[in-house]
Amino acid sequence: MTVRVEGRTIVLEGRCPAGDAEDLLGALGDHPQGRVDIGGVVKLHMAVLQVLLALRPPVTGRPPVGPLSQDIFRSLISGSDSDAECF
Amino acid sequence: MDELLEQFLIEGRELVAEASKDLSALARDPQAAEALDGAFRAIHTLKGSFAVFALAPAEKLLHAAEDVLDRARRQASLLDAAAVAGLVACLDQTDRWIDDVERSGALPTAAEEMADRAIALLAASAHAVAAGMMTGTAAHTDWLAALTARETGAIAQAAAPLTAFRYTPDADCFFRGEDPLGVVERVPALIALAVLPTGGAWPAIADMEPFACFSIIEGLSGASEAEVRAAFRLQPSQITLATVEPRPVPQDSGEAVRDKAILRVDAARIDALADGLGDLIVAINGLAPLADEVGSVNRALAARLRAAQADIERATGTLSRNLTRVRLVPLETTLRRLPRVARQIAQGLGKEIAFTLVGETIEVDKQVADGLFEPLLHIVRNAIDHGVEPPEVRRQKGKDAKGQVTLTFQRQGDAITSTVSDDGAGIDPARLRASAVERGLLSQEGADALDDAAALRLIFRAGFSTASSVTEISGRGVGMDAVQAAIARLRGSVEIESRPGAGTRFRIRLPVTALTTRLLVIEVAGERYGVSLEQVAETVRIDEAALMPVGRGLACVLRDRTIPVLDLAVLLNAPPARGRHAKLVVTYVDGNPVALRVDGFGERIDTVLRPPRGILAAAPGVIGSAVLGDGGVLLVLDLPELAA
Amino acid sequence: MPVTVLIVDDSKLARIVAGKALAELQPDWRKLEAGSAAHALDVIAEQTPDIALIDFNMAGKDGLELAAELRVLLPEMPVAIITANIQDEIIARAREIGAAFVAKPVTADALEPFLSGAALRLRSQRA
Repeated sequence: MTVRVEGRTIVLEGRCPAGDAEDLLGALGDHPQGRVDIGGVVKLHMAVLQVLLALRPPVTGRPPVGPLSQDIFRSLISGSDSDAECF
Repeated sequence: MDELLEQFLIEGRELVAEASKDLSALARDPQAAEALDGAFRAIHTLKGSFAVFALAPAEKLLHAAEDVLDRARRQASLLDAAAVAGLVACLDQTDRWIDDVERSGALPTAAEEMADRAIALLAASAHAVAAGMMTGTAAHTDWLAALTARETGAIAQAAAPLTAFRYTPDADCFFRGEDPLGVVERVPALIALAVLPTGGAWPAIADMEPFACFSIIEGLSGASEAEVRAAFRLQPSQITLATVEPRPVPQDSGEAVRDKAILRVDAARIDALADGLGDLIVAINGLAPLADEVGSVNRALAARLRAAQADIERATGTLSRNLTRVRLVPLETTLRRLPRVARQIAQGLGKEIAFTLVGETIEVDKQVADGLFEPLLHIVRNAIDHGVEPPEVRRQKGKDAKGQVTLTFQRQGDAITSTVSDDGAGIDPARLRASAVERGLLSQEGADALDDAAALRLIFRAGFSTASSVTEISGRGVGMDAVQAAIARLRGSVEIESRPGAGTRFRIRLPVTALTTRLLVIEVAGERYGVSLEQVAETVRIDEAALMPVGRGLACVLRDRTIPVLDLAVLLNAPPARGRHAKLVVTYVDGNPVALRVDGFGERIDTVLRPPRGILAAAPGVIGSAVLGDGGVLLVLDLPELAA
Repeated sequence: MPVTVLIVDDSKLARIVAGKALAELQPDWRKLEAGSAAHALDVIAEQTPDIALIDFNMAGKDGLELAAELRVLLPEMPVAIITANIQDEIIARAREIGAAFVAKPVTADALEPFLSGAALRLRSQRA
């Protein structure tokens, strides 16, 4: 399982395939105030990414190192507060 | 004033306004023939007016603009967004020249070069029109124009032509096992990437089909069109390609580039929008308590209310981000003078420097960009004056005669970090301690008690200067205290690191935007207060037994570091906090962590911070107030000031 | 309910290779085999597969022609064309009927994206 809910945080982990889009959508529906932790993501399928882009939940965690991650995650992260890492 | 000149100023500005109006009509509707004629006539007349005063560069520029419009008229071809943007840039330049003529009766000395650059920009956009016509439809040039506007920075930095692509995967592609991101990953030499919604807007949660692709991917690559096409070999009908010529950013008219967005709006109107948005956010904050109240009667209804609230919050968040984006300007616009000024300073001091600027294309709120120039200039000036050694000294020390001064910008989430570093002499903490004692700022014991990091921060004290000679450039120690104050006004912080003999580095952290502030609600002695999350390094909960008495106060150990613990209630003249668990908010005072004990943590809210007025303005430790959803007012505390 | 996969290839060896890759990814899925397009149509008359893997290069009717017919008979069924060299003309024809591509020889890695997409479709159909 690559989508988990821990309290108010929805944790994405590992290689998230297209099927995760439905789980993520469900989790965000159940927790409209929830934040999404992408710290453990290795690879994100387009289906999962577009749910994040459309619903814009607060996103936390350091994006994975990968060919596209800079481009893909920059916009997601910059839309969220960077939480405790403020100084 | 000369009657002729007076008439020129009045009429010239009218003509600029007229042409601007027609050009924005053309931007909305490229087929508006009347607007095309109108713009042509206004610019033609304007050219004649400048000719009366023999202002040749302006004539030349307007002639080029007139040409573009005339060609479009005669060939009945359409002007695309880039071409209109080029014309608007010409018009803006003309407008500034009219101001110059009013001030000094002449054009600036560099007018000839400015005209050439604006003409080159115009020619580049006219070229884009031709390219657009070659490859196809109006819709095609629309996305290309939007992409070019979005990626101005990347395009300006390119040395060779780039390939732009727009990839529209079909809705069923996930079912065939395709991952559009995986496809794009194979595009060689990818420079920029954007994921956009197919219908122009992202679907709402209720309408979302998780397995239907509703995204479009656009990007820029440094590879040739054929190479990019090869990456999309299996999706030939879903890909549109275009070649984008690199466009150099004109050095002295950065505004022309920014003005690609054709609409020019009075800043006050944007501020009015921001105020309205602030009120909206306050109203939305009222929904959460309402949902809680409903929840005690009907849980299902409360859940629906919360879902609706989340939708409204999301929409408002998007609105806020878009509004924020409207106010964003690239830093380079305000910083473009800096490298030149730095070289002049070095020359005046007989020093040799290599000045490097990195990341200046980052966009920040206009207020932040404007407020940043002065403090940065001051730090750079100090680095050259006090940091970089004279060439002969550097050679003796085995360093390159040329000192390196580097200014960098980096975006991290909602903050930007800027560093100014030099490879000069560095700052000796011992000398700073001695100097502070000499000046009577500190007692000998006080100075000895400072560790090196704290000693370095002495330079931010008012009236502190250690330069062995008071130079013309750095003045009389008016300096680093003003720098710190200017950065604090932008809600930023500054840190300093230095190694004697090796150099000094200043690190400035600033929020990118200024519209809404994220607050953490805290409880202290039965009252609720807000604190800006930017001042909160972390919140921790520890056993009261872990608080150790140190001297007359308390301290605790966090991550192997002993940090002082102050009771916020006591600082606010209220009875101290009690309880088995101590709840701490950690903030930084002059670069050192300090924990403040509170009774409890509440929710986090996004709100508009109102500056303190009336009695509040005089109250220490208050940075403003925020109106809550229920109409209540939250005082927002300035933690570092209270803890100092 | 187990998923049934129809593998169509006129080489028995190729069918075994594809079957192995399938078993590696989805050991519980059932497979049906056919050695030609005509044989495949006979098989379908008896049982309804959920997914089809069809070799492009077959004697008689080629894989794309068979895929086009299957598209009419079973419009919702995910179909992949197995081929070693993909020509632009084949891409266009496959696009028209909504077939995916799987590179030949079929390995688990090559098959994985198509199978996961197909699983997604089955999941959303059964939901």
